[in-house]
Amino acid sequence: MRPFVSEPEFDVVIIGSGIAGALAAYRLAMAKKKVLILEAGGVAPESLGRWAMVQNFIASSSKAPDSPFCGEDVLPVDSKVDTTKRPPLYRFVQPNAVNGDNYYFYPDPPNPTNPNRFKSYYERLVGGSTWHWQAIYVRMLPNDFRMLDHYGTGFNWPISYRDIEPWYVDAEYEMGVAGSDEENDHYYERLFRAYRSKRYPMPALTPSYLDRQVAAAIDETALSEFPKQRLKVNTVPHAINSREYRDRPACDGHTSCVPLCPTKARYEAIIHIEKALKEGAILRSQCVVTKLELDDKKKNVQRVIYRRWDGDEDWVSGRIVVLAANGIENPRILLFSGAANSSDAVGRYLMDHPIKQSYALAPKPLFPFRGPQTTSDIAAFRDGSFRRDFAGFKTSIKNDGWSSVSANITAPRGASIPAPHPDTPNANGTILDFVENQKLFGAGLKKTVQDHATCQITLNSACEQLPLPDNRVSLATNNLDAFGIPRPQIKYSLYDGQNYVSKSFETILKVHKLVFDKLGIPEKNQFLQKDPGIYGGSGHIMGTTIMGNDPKKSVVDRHCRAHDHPNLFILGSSVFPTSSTANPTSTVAALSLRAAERIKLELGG
Amino acid sequence: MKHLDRLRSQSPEDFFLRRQFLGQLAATGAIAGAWPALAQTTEGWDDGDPLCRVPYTELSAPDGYELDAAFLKSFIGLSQALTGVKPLDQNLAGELMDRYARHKQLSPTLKKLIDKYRSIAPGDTQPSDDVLKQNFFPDTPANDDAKNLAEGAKQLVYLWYVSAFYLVIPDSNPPTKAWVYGTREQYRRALLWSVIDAHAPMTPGGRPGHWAFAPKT
Repeated sequence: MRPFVSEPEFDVVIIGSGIAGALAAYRLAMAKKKVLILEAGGVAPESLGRWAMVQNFIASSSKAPDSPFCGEDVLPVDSKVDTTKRPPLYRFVQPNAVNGDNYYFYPDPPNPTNPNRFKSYYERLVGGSTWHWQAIYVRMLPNDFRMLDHYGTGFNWPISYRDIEPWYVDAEYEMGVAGSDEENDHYYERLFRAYRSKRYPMPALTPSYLDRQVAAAIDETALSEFPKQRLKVNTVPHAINSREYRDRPACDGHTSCVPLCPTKARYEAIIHIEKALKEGAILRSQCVVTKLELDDKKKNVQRVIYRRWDGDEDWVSGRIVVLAANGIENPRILLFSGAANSSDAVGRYLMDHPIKQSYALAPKPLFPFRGPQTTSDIAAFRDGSFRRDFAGFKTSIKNDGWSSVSANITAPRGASIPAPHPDTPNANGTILDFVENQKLFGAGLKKTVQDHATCQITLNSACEQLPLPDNRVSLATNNLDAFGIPRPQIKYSLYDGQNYVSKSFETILKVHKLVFDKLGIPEKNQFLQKDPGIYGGSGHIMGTTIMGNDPKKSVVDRHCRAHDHPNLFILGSSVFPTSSTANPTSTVAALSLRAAERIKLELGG
Repeated sequence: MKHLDRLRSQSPEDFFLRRQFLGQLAATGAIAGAWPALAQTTEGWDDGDPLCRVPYTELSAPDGYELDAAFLKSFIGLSQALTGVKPLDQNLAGELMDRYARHKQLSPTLKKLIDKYRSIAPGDTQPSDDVLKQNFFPDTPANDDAKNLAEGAKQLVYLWYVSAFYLVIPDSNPPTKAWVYGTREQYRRALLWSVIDAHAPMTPGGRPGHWAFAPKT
């Protein structure tokens, strides 16, 4: 490894290029700070504009005009060309850049005195891809920041809804969020005091036909034991364009937010990585950060040590270091570094939004498999005095039939042949079931597919989870990954001693049943997943470097700065002291922009 | 063994289809063991992503028979009988027939399917459901030939409804079945989606907001 140089190379080194890192990188690069983004992974092929093509060109020895377009999938390949030959033979079905003689046919031998090789050429290529998330963009509620005060559970955040509200707005305009101002005024503000200081940048995504059938059927009904929690269907705010916004198109409903939005109507973090790079930030991909090296006094982060995929180790330094590598990797890096852990809180309080899904077959078509995967939800149980007793939750109404149900994954196709259900023949709902198990073909198959898939509905409820010290990420010191770093060791219990989650699941199932009943679905066609062993994860990794005012009990302060190290900031949902019922990205984005402002002040300007 | 040429991208959507296949493998857990190996290679896009493609051998011509107009006619007749959808698009039928006939593992089966169909549908009169069931979807196949014919009939249904065969991945251990897709146009035109008044995921469904209303059937 290179010898240490005390002068920091960058103003800011950001570890991680997700939304937390991307937004901070952009704002700091805009402020003319010298920013480096370190990312453990590589670059998705079509994600970074022309990044991949530039990389190809840089890597090529020839620097030929077609070197940006190498790879199997860009130019037409002549499969007969022996690719084991070294140096490699030109293998594309087009004129090479030398003289085109791999493609053009010349009847005459070269004429040195009167040259006869035509030298113009052309390229043939395709473009475009990116990453996956549903882009549900829901703010936390005011009471979510005061769980200990209001409900005697979890922690209070060191900031309030009022503190973060302007940053929610900032992020919503930066990313492009579609939501209903009217619903916010009449529902979220009236019920939960979740005011907005500025209107949404765009109107909400149009609710689906399916949403409207559910809304009409449940008509603000309530469970008898919770009469205040009236079940109302509202549109869900999304970081998806409902109209053209900042050069990206409106969503036209490809129904594939996960795994991929093919039109870029949905916001993706790569958009701000691209913007940060345009503003002068530098990106090093395939660099796995292993350690933050502290100075002799253990006060500041002196170097960031990383390993490239080829095994080489290197380091970089910055006046400020931002750890934005997610709720598993953040604590893993800190623990391996022996950093930021005077509180012994690093890695603890690991949380997710556990999911209970139920699915059913409606008596008449709801026409799923169209539109964004979710356009509406039921938020009645997001807040209330019941949170003293069990976890709040919100219920998404899915527009993609049963395709997200693990037992029926990718319905109505299916991924594997399911076990037959003789007592509940409608429970599978995939063509693999209809053909392999039910031996259907011809008109009978067509009618069954039609009658079944058009009537599929899934309710997906995700609940909050208590921050428990024993739910934690630590280091598996005897189990190293391919880079020689201890793998993350996870201790996690879904259910807690207070039955906070299990009671929530019970209520969720009652809500699902009530909705299904109101839709007139007979019990034999309701599939409530009562088994306590059946649950899902939301991919919302929270806790593990929690925020707080007390350095003895928390890892970062109200500005996301590590209590122990003044030049280290930690971004992402790992700083959440409690999980709330909100999808975390909105709060991650708001906190990142807020922290970027603080970092700018630290750096002077 | 070579990758299916048609899966070499000519458009962004082909890339997406491979991603989708990857997702399905992940869902079945089939990918778990293979992923670290991929991570140790250089950028996935450099040499293509082997996990996104099911490699299989494609014949240059069907195994011992010709794909003529009469064969296509019978292919369409059998397809209409087994899918329950009529009329089927003749051009798409030609493409799917070619895929089936040039699949090394399936090629001989298609000939047997067509021969059987011709024997029970003289003059292309559609056989009754009972006759079709007896010959192509028996509850208990009488012998290996009948079993092979039934498997072939299922593959024909899948090809039309999903645009994919559902086959064991070559060399997979334990044997793992996966969908093997064709072109993006075939993916988009798979019958499943038009039958349910929807669209294949990751393909356009219509104008923004079309999902607010019941489809016009």
